[in-house]
Amino acid sequence: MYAMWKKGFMSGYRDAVEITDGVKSFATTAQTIICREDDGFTRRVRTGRWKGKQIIREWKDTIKGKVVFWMKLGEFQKWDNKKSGRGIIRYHPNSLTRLHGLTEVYTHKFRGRPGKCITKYSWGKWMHQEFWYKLRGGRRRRAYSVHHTDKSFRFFWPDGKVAGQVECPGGFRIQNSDEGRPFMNRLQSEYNEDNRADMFDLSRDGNAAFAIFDRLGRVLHRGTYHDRQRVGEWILNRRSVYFVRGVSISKKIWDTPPEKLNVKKIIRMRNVQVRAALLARIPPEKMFKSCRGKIIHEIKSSGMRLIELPVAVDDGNGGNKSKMRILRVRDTSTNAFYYLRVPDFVWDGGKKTKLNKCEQARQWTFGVNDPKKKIKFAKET
Amino acid sequence: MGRLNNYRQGEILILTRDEDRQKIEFPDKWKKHAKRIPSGVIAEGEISGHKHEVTNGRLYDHPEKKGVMILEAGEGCVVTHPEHKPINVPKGVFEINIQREFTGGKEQSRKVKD
Repeated sequence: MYAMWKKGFMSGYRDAVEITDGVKSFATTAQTIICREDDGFTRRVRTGRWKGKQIIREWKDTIKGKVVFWMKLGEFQKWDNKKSGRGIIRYHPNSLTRLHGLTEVYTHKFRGRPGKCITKYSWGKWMHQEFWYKLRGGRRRRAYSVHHTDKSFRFFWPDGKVAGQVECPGGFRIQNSDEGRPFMNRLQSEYNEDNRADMFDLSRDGNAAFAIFDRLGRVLHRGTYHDRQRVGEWILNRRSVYFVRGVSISKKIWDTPPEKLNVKKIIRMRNVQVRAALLARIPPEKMFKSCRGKIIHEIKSSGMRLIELPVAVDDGNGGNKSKMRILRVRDTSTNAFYYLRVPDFVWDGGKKTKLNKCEQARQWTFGVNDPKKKIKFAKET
Repeated sequence: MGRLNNYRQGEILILTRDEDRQKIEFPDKWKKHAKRIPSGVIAEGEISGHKHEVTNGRLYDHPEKKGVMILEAGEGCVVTHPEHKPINVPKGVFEINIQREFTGGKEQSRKVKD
């Protein structure tokens, strides 16, 4: 392939640009081009001066004699090679980065069947995608057609039977790496790798539901995401699996009514995700009553709570003089509560100092042993 | 280069090195002994399999502190996780630690596992 650079496009252009499959990327300043070549783990950065067309020769030299991309701004361009198939693509006349107009890639496969994938972009934003199976005798059949504002869509087998359906109440979101490829393949490839169907990425807000059927119309996989986490009863490879906040739990626990769950046992569990998932099933009032818990401190705005339970804990000196304390914290990304065990006191300069505030206990979890010190975060997600 | 900030993504703490906050270069004394983590994975969810991953940055095991990692963040360094919003880390050298919780007994504390 050959690179064709429009004169002057470099000026004022400063962001990194991903160009091919997320493997090679370019970044420019007014005077310098930087090429990142990613071979899996290592990343090499090379620079070259902008000298009109001479830069093309420099690129040829720097990338082992191969020019990595063919580009002409504002015009439709075609390519035809064994690896990426035949295609047509258009970049926006005033922007190197943004796909604009129609992109077709002919030789992609959807659910193992070849066909034509048509994607439409506007100012780099994904607008619409449809896939057409290529059938015998030159016939074709539509596998799916989805617009970015759609809430749901169905996709079909080549014989016209329904193969599955996806619902994203907040609309669909397609990332850059899916340029020109059937975005549904991401879902399928994840099945092939580890039998997981983490497709919440397809939705804008992390809420999605999907079902995939076999040739006979039976449910093969089915599940729901809430805030990017699996919830409820799922079917994976025709087997039922139960999830609470992304954590798989046994059918026995799923069927156990919340009032019969043992809070003390749950709090002693090693994994915080499992702990949070199980405690989430128990109403807070019931949780306090069942283990006679006491709220030591509470910050209502953040939902943080420091709770003391009448359970003796070894304080490290051989005696069970400490009481179990739990810090309830809210995850800012998922809004879910997590429960962390914290000490009731720390040794501060040979003196026993109680941790009676939520923030003091939270800082302890960050590794701060001195209750007067504090780690401040510029960003917490 | 201004003062670097601390960041948190779930149980992952991205902290500036207290002893020399203004320095952003990788200390020479670590270069020989710090073992690189080529995958760029800081931590992996035990049950969900979701990973805290670094792109555009190099990750090392801390040669002096057990269980602590060093992040050498390059231009456009991002820490990602499917359930959390990404964190853009400025160019510099950071220590990566994992939140802890109380266990009692001799061990006293352990890293949080999700």
